[in-house]
Amino acid sequence: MRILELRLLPTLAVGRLGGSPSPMDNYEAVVDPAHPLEHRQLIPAETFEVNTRTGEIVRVFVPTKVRFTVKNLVRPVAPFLEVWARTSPTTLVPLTTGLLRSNKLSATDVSWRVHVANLKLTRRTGEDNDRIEAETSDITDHSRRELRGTCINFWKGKYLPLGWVQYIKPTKDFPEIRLRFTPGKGLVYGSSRRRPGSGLRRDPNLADVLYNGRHANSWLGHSDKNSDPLTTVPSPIYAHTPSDRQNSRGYIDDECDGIVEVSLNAGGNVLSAQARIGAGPPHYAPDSFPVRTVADELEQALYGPVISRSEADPDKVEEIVRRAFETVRLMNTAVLNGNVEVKGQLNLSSNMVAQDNLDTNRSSDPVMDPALVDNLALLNLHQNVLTALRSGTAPWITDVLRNYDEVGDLTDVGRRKMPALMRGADGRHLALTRRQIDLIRKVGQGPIFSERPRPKKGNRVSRKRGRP
Amino acid sequence: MSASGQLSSYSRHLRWLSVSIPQPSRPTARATVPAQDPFAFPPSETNWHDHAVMLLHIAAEIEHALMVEYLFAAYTLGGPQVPPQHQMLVRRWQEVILGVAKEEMGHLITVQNVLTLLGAPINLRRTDYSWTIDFYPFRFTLERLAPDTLATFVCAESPAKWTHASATLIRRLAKVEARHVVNRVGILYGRLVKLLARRDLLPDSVFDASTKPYQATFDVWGRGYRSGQRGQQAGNVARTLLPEVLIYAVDSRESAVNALSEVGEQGEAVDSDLPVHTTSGGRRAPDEEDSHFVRFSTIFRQLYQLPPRHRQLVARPVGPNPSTAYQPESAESDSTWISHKEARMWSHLFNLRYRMLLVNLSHAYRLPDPADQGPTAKGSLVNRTFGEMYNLRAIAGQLVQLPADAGRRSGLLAGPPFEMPYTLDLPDREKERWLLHQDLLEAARNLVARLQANARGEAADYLNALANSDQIAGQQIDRMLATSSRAIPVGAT
Amino acid sequence: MKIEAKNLTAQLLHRARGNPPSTLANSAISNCFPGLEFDFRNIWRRLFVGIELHEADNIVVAVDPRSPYKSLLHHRLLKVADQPTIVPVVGPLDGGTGRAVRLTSPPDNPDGVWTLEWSNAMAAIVHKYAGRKTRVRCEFTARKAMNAVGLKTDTKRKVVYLRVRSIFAKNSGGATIPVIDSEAVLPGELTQSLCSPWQNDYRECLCYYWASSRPDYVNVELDDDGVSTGNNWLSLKREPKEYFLNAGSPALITYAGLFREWQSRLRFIIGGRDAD
Repeated sequence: MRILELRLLPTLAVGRLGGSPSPMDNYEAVVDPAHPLEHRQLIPAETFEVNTRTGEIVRVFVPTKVRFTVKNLVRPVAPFLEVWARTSPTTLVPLTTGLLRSNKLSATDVSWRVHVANLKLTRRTGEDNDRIEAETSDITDHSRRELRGTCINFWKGKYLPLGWVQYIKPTKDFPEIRLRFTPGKGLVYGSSRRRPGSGLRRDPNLADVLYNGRHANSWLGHSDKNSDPLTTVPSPIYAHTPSDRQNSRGYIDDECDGIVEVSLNAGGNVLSAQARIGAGPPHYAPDSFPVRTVADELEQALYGPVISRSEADPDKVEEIVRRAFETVRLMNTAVLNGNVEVKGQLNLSSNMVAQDNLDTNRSSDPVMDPALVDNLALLNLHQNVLTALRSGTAPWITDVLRNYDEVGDLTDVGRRKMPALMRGADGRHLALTRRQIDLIRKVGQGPIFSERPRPKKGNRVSRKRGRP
Repeated sequence: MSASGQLSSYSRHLRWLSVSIPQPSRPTARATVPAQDPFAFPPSETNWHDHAVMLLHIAAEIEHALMVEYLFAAYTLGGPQVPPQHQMLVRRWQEVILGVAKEEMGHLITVQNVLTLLGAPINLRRTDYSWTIDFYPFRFTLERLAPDTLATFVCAESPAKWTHASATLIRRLAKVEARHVVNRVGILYGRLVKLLARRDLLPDSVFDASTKPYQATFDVWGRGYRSGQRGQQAGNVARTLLPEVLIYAVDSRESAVNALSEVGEQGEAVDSDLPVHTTSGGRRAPDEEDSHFVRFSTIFRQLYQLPPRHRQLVARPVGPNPSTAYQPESAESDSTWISHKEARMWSHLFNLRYRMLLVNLSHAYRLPDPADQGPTAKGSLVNRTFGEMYNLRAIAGQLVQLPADAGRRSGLLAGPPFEMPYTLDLPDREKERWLLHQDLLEAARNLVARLQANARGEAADYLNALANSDQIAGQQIDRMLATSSRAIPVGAT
Repeated sequence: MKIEAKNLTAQLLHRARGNPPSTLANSAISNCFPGLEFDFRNIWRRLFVGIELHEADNIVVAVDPRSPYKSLLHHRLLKVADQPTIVPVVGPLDGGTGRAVRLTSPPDNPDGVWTLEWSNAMAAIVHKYAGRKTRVRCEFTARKAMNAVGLKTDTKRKVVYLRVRSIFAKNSGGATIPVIDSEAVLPGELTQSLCSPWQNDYRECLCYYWASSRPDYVNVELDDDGVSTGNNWLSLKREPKEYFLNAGSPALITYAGLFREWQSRLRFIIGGRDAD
């Protein structure tokens, strides 16, 4: 099988910060078919143990329990990226040492480059010298490389540790070509006007002081201007001095994102592929998933806002409703609804009611009738929607979904559309992607013409459901 | 059971001064158009306040019956026999009829609010004989959607003056004698509006504004189907407009009169002789009055434009008036005994959820809106009421795919029976009302467990979820009953 | 094991052996305001070749100095292929009658409009034009506009035709592959507009709308009044069960607590409750 092309999968991998030396084990988050309204069950799954010294996978095992922390430290989520090879016009297969061998190549013909950055400073200050970037040279061996984020404005010798990458050494048992990205520890770093070590008073929030805040337009003391349309939205969103919300304390985190590139030198013909990686905070409710995700954005960008009839899969609609339900379940909906008082406390929370008032001068009324919006009462409703959908009933909820161009409708009717009480990327009430809405609509038009499907014997649960 | 010999208990109150004599053999021809002022003489056994309450009871039952008939017809639409070229049309009809049913629900709720304002109990019953009285246009029948069913719907909602060319055909199909057709629903609301407006018959003191916290409001029950969105397309089916659910909470004579006028008008077209609107190109005129009459007439016309052999194919072959009670086959019987075991169990489950819906709704009316505008158990009752609506839709979806009879000889399918429970009375005390919910949940658990034994595929998925949902509801009620008397809102009646 | 080369979703969401579900794009929120894992709005900044847009506003923030469109700096993009990038904001005014009116807020937003998120507003245009030679008609404000501008008929516009960039890379055969193109988005740009440090967001922003990743209301149960009771996720103590409405309450984890001790203070929530 000739290698025609490489792909690096998944094409976008999310790493998650954590200080534990033990990376997060693998698990599944699945819906229990017998209790489909309960939380997804977290079930331990096949996990690789990597010897970081040799770069080899030394064992594959299924942990006895899903544990997110060890000794009060969060286990970082450290994704593997697999190299796949297109060996025919239509098919991708894993790139293995065997496949390399059959092409008269070996694992040493594979090389990797990783380029990640943290541009949070430069995005605010506009200074190119504030870019924090880590770029590896070609990696062809299996040692673990630290991603050292360097920056012109850092104090001499200082760098921002952005995690590690390691080309996993293929073995007889694990012959596939893969790389592991381990994100940073989730530490906070700082800035100073005096050289570190020169009698600087230690800030207990910080792991280290990296940034030289002496120069003009420095991140330390930076201030987002209210009237500047070029600032981040929202702004200012950075650690600030106690007295001034705008005044930056010069804090830096170890989040980053970037590109991993794999290359294969096949006799002078270099094949390469890229994937994106990022390091974000932990997924704190791992049995629950967001209603609108990065995957929805990318699918809409890939395929457009309209789905084809053949893609109108009721299970996908159920998954959207389930995710809405999972999000609502963890929200204090009475508070977010803007009820004037909640359990005797005056409600001055940051919620959509307050935002609408702040951003647009809309009168600050609760979104829905305050009597209706207790968390458990709303859960009953979502559970019933989910229950009915599982019967194959065509979804009837399209009428109450907010269309993307209705986000400016802040009337009572407009604000009560679904998803409710949440904020979208434009800062107003959340709308699903147009593609998600089209899916729900098309599935809603479907099933009344079908015959009752003849169930297969022993098929107690209709379809493979409940996997995120 | 043939009901032609039965009369509603309302009859004698309504007819004691009427010149017309009941003719049970020709029930539909017995229309009485009162010639004189209906308020010239006091009623027979009631005063005017009580009479108004009675008329509202009738209105509630009619709205309830219409809603159920429309829902039934809508649920039967579809099936593999629908010619592919008509599927979009049929799907749209379903959306329109379900929309009308939602609006009837709004009417039903508004009528309960006026009852509450007058200090009377709400009425969620639906008697089988209400058709024997003047205002009810047709005998209560659950029938699949077909030209004659639709014709009855058109007639039921028709305006007082209706002389359009299609009227004769529609009346003939509906088996209505043209000379006697009046919009009795319209007349009922007309009479109610007149009566409520009469200060000499009903003093201001009978309108009790302090009942408002017990009434249903649009904010709580409207679910976003609202005035102001008219003209906006419903999401599921292109070129279908959202229903406009009218729910009015009332606190005075004026607001009650307005509410009932609006409700009366939503049924019939304002312009009595409005021709049926065309929807060529799918565009409705923006000023079109979307009365139920117009919407049904439009569907009727579209149905009638199909080739004759296709007209009967738009709905599944669901038997009329499905029933879980055994009835010997007879030529006169107009109901369908569900003898298929699985279908009958689903039918029982349907009836039970229907009762749960009504019990939730009725219970919600006993609890006031909280003075501090905070959430209470009432919110759960409201949400559960909607949850049961979704369940009815889901179970109806199962039923219309199952055979009606065990031997599949009739070729008929089962359908949602909408059989009324033996009682809708709620216990007097709050704690016992919650215990009633527990009784119903236990009954549901038993039924679901029996159905689960043989269920496969989506049916099994649904039953698992339903069992799970009921289990959670049961735990919540247990917790409320176990904790303290504070769970029982003070002042609940 | 095989994957169809054409199945782009399968490649985007491929669960590599050993990877937990939280590594996938469908575990990352996209109602980015500004976001958690990424501020994904940034993928649209270079949607139109020659100019760079703000990720959350219709203003041109940078231009290619070699581009003929360099004069568009700080102009606002109002329409693309006749699709507006903004919508009117309508609702009842504070202290008003309750009647819905155009909600203007001078001086920042005198016309009462709101910029739509690019992802949805441009979805059809991206589908039709991205990566193709055909240029699309873009209407900008005739002048630089630092504040929001509405679609008034008498507003002078500047019309140019721009190429729409594909945000995805192509393979050597020219087929789209589901990885973000390296020219469309540079390393660091997907996270550049997130909070710095990220912990800050957890305290001041109270971003409840990411509750499945960053919970708000946990350990919820029914109380004696028949309604829910539970803890703020950020509560330092879980008993007695109380939800604190004041974001500044000392009962909640402080900034310092988040910076120094987030790993032990923030609890993973499983089944709606604190995981042990």
